[in-house]
Amino acid sequence: MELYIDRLTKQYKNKIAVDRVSLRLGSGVHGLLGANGAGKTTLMRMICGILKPDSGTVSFDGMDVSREDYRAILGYLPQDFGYYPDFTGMDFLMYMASLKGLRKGDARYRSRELLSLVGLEGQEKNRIKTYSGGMKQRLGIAQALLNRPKLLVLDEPTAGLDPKERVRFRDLIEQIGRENVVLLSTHIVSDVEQIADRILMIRDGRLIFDGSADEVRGNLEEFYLEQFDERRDDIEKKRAGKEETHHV
Amino acid sequence: MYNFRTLVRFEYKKLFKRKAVWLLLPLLVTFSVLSVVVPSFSTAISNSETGQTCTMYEMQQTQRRESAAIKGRLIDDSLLEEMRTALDSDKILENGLPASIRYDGIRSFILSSVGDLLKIEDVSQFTGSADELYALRTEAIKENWAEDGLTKGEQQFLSEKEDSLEIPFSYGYSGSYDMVASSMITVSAMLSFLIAVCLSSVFSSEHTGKTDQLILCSRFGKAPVYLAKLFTGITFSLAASLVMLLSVFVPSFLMYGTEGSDVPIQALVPLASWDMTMGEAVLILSGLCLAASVIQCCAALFFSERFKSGIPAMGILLGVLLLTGFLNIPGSYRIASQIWEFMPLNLVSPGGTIHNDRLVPFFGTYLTSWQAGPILYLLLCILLLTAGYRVYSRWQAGGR
Repeated sequence: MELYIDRLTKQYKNKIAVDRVSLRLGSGVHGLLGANGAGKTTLMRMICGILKPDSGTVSFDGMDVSREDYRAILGYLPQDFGYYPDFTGMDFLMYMASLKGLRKGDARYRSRELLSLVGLEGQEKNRIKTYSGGMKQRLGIAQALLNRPKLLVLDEPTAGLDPKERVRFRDLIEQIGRENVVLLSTHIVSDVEQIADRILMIRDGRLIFDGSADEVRGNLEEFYLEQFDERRDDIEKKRAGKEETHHV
Repeated sequence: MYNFRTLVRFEYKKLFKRKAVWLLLPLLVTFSVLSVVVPSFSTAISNSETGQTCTMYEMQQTQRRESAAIKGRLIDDSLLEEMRTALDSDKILENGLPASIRYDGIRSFILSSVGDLLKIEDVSQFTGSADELYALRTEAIKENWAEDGLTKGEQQFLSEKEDSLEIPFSYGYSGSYDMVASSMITVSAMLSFLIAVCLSSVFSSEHTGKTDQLILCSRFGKAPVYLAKLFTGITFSLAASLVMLLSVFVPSFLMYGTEGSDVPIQALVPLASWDMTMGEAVLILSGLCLAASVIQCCAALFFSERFKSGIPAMGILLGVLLLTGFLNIPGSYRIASQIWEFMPLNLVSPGGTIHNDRLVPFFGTYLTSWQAGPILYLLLCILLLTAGYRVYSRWQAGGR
C-alpha cells in the first residue's frame, strides 16, 4: 500500500504553489505541516484529483489519480467543507455513501456507525444548518470515512473541534493509520505531534523536511518554527531573552 | 455499486429543498388554469336592442350548442347561403344572442381566409360562391408564399400538400382545441420561467456550496452524478410541462367539451396547407412544448455549470424569453426570420408552426417547422450536454 507522488508541480500565475514534490507514503499517519499559503491545500487537492498538476504524477498502488478505482479508495475532508444545509446529517451521509458506491443497507449501517463514532448519534435527524461548527466538522470527518478509505486525506481536520473532540479525533486517526495511508495537513503542531509516524514540512511549495517525529529530537513545535526563516529570528530573540533572564 | 436511482432521488431532494420550486410550480399551474377560465367570465356582452347581457362563457356555450346543428357539414354554397340568410334575419335566441351565432365558425373561416386579401372586415361584404371562396383562399396562400420568399421547390411541395386536401372543408365546433392551441404560448412562457428559476442552480449550487470537491473526488462523482443531474433536470422539465399542459387541457375540456378533435386544422388556420385535424395539431403543439422544455432545461444545466452561478444562467434564459416575446423578425429576412421561428416560444405557437410555410430542405425532401424543430433541438441538446460534461469533469478546485 503506497501513495506515490512524483515531481508534482503547480503554479498559479507567478507563484509556484507546489514545487517538484516527490513522496512515497506507506501505511501510517503522515502529518503535513506548513504555514498558511505554504502549498498544503494545493498539494492535497492534487492528491485527491480535483486539481490538475502542471507536471508530475500521483498514483496509489499503481492506480493513477484520474481513475475511478483511485477515487474508490479515497477519503477526503477538504479544508472548506461544503454541505447541504437542508439535509439531515443522516441524509448527507447516505448521499455521500451513494456517491462512494455503498449499497443502501451497508450505507445506513455505516452511517449510523460513523455518526456514533464522531459523537453525532441522536443528531442524525436534525438539519445540518442547525449544527455547530464542530458538529459540521465531525460530520465531514464521518463522510470521509464512509468507504473505509485506504487513502485518507484530511485538510485541517481539527478546525472547529474542542479539546475533547480533538483527543477523540486523534485516537480515531491513529487507529485508521495502522492499516491505511493517512495524510493530515495542519498548521497546528500539536495535532500531529502525538499521532504522526512521519512529519512532512512544506514551505513555499517545497518539501523542507521529511522524517519521523523522533528525528526532530525534542520539541516539534520549536523545530517546526525553526524551519521557517521569518520565524527563526523571533525564536532566536526569544531564546536570547530567556538566557538573559536566567543570567539575571 | 453504482445506484443511479439513489443518485437521482437525492438530486430531486436537493431540487425540492429549494423554496422557489415548490412555490413556483403550483403558482404557475394556478395562473395557467385562470388564464383559461377567467377571460370567459370577466367579459360581458350586451345586446343593445334587447338590453340583455351575457358573459363570454354563455356566448361560447350558446355557439357550441347551436353549431351542433351544422356539425360535419361541408362549407359549400348551401351552407354559405344558410349563413347569409341567418345574418340577414333578426331572430334572437332566449338569452338575447342572435340566432346567427350558429355560423360564427363559418364567418371566422371566411374572414381569416380572404379578409386580408379582399380587405373586408365583415363577412357580409363577401358575396361570392364557395368556389370563389376557395379560389381566393388559394390566391391568399400563394401571396403568403411570395411574401415569405419560398423557393420553387417549397412551393411545389406545398402545392402537392394543398392538392391532397379535401375541399370544401367540413365544419365542426372545436372550442376546447382552439383554446388549448392559443394557450400554448402562455404555457411555454411560464415553463421557460419555471425552468430558468428552478434548474439554473442544479450544477452551480454545488460550486457555491463547495460540495463540488466532495462529489468530484468520490467514486461515482463524475459521469454518474452528471447523468443523474441531467436525468433529474429533464424529467423535472417534462413533468412540469405535462402538469402545465394538463392545467390548460382539463379546464378547456371541462368548459368547451372534448368534441372537435376531427375538425380540419383549417378551422383554426384557414390558410394552412396541411392535411391535419385539430386533435393532431394540438398533439403536435404539445409535443413541441415538451421538446422546448427539454432544450431549455439542457441550456439551463449547461449555463449553470459553465458560469458556476445560477444568476447568469437564469439571466440568459429569461433574456431569451423576453426577447422572443418582443422581437419579431419580418419574413422578408428569410433566413434570420426562419431561424427565429425555431425559438421555443415561437415554435409552440400555432402561428409559428401550423401557419409557418417555410420549410427546411432535408435530403431531397422538405421538413416542416414542427418536424425540423425537434431534430434541431435534439442536436442542440447533444451539443450542450457534451460541452457541459467537458466543463463539469474538468473542473479544478484551485483559486479558492
